[in-house]
This record gives sequence, structure tokens and C-alpha cells, in this order.
Amino acid sequence: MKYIIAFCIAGLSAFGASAQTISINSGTTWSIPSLSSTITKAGKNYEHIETSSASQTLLKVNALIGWSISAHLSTTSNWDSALKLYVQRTGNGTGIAIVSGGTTYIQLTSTPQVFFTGLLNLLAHRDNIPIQYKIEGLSVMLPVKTYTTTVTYTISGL
Amino acid sequence: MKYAMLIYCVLSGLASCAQTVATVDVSLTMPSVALVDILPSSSNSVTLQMTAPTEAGNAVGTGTSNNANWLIFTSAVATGASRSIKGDVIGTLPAGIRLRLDVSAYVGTGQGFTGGNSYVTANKYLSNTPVSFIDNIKGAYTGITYGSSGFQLAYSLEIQTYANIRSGTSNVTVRYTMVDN
Repeated sequence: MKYIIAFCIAGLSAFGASAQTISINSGTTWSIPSLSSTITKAGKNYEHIETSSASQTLLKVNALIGWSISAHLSTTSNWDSALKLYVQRTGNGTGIAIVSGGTTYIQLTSTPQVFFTGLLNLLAHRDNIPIQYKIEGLSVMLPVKTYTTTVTYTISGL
Repeated sequence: MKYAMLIYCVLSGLASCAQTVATVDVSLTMPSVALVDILPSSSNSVTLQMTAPTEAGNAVGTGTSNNANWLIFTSAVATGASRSIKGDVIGTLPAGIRLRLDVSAYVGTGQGFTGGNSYVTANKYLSNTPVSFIDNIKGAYTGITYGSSGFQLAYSLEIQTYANIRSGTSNVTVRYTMVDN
């Protein structure tokens, strides 16, 4: 009997650990090789914001009960702090879990912060959660080059 | 103890398969920009007129200067690069006369004009050979408001060789070009 109980505990715990996953269905990159708006008059600076499509990234989440997705910039060595990268959740995706938060832009930094949370996923996943990005702070004061960074999403909880 | 080991082994094995992190790469390319323009009070035309003396023995007057135009620009460069704005004359200046250009220091709420950037050079005269009037331009934008953004330009005439001066009218074009250093 003891063995059976122990095995059940281990199995359930292991399931919880393995079920808590996050992956990307599409949109593992957002590349802006040329700006959406150019400066057409001498004397001006950029006045626009670069915005991705509303479903630039589609996230897939698996978890058991309660979970939280945090986001941060994991590589910033080729980024400039004047460039402000924001992220927001533009929909719920599909699935039965209750998803909340993240529907307004938050500015990403190198410190992880809670992006959105979910509750009661049970045996179903939450799929195709649409994510949108925007970049503010475009300026001619930034040296001409290609800037790169990595947005890291981390799931935690059960 | 046996149970603990069992739990630990199963947990470790399966948890290692869990993907708890997903990443998205973001890239943004900032392009080179080089734009220069003149903000005039009404039109780009500048009229400078020498004045004839009213008394024998006096010199021809050089008239009054014109400072109605402002130079504005936007620049974006790579790290370590810089530009300058050169001016030259297209056409033939009247004999014996020099066309002087005084570029005032930058005014406005733009950026890129401190720390030795976008400084006004000591050059004073426009000719058919382009010379630099503003140098060490890096990332910068002047703003576009007439009278309060950019570099005010003052054109005036100077007598260079009195004996060569002739009466008449000459039309020339002053050209400003932003060039890579």
C-alpha cells in the first residue's frame, strides 16, 4: 500500500512538473529590416512607433492549475536602452483555462516581470495566445546599425 | 527513504523534459539619414546690393547683409562616422567681390549640437569650391521652426579687389551639401 501511495504522489508530481510548459506556435522572430516610416523633411526626428502585427507571436501554454508567464529581455548587449520594447496580449487564444492580465503594453527590461496569468488549465492547453510588440524611442541619435534583443517568456506555477 | 528516492527520480526525469522558457528574437535596423534644407522667411532668394558713393572719392558701399535664411538638417550615422555641410557657389560671382557667409551657432531644441558635435567652422567665404561650414555632424536634428531652429545664415558682400569691380547684376546659386567625412 505504501508503495502504491508513493508511486501515485510521484506520478502526480511528475505530471505537474512535465505539464508546465510554454512554447511558440509561430512568430519566434520580429524583424524590422526597414522602418515603417521615414523622415521626409530635414530637421525632423522620427515621430513614429514601430508596431508588430497583433498576432506576431502565438504562445502555447500547458499547466495544471495556476500559472504565470513572465517576460524579460534576456540579451541586451546589442540593444540600446533608448529603444523601449513593449509587449501585450491581444487575445485569449484557444483552450479552457482562464487567462488574465497582459492586455495593455508593458515595457520589457532585463528583469523578469509578470506578463499574464492563467488558472485551471487542467488537462487542456491554452493555445495560440496572440502577442503584440511595439518599439518606442526611435531616433536619429541612435547609431546606424541593426539592433537585436531576445524576449524570454518563462512559465511558473503548477 | 525508498519512497523519497523514487519520487526524486521520477520528478527529475520528467521535469527535465518540461519546456518552461520560450524566446522571441527582435531585430531593428536603424538606417542612415542625411537631409539638409533651407528655411527662408518667404523665398530662398537673397538680394545683396552694393551702394554707389554719393561723393567723389568715397568707396562703394557693400550694402546690408541678409540673414533671413536658416539652415536645418537631420543626420544619422554609424558609430565613428561623421558628416559635414559644405557650401559652394554655382555660377560666377562678380569680379572683385567676395560672397561672405556667417553661420550663427545652433539654436533650437534639437539634439546633436553639444560636446563638439555639429560645430560651425571658421570658413567665411563661398566660392566655386565647396568648403565646410558645419563639421563633425553625427546623429543630429535641428528642428524645423523658422527663426528658432537651426543655423541662421547671414550673407554679405565684401570687396576683394577694388579695381576689378564692375557695375551690373549677377545671379548665383549657393548650394549646401551634407557629405560624409
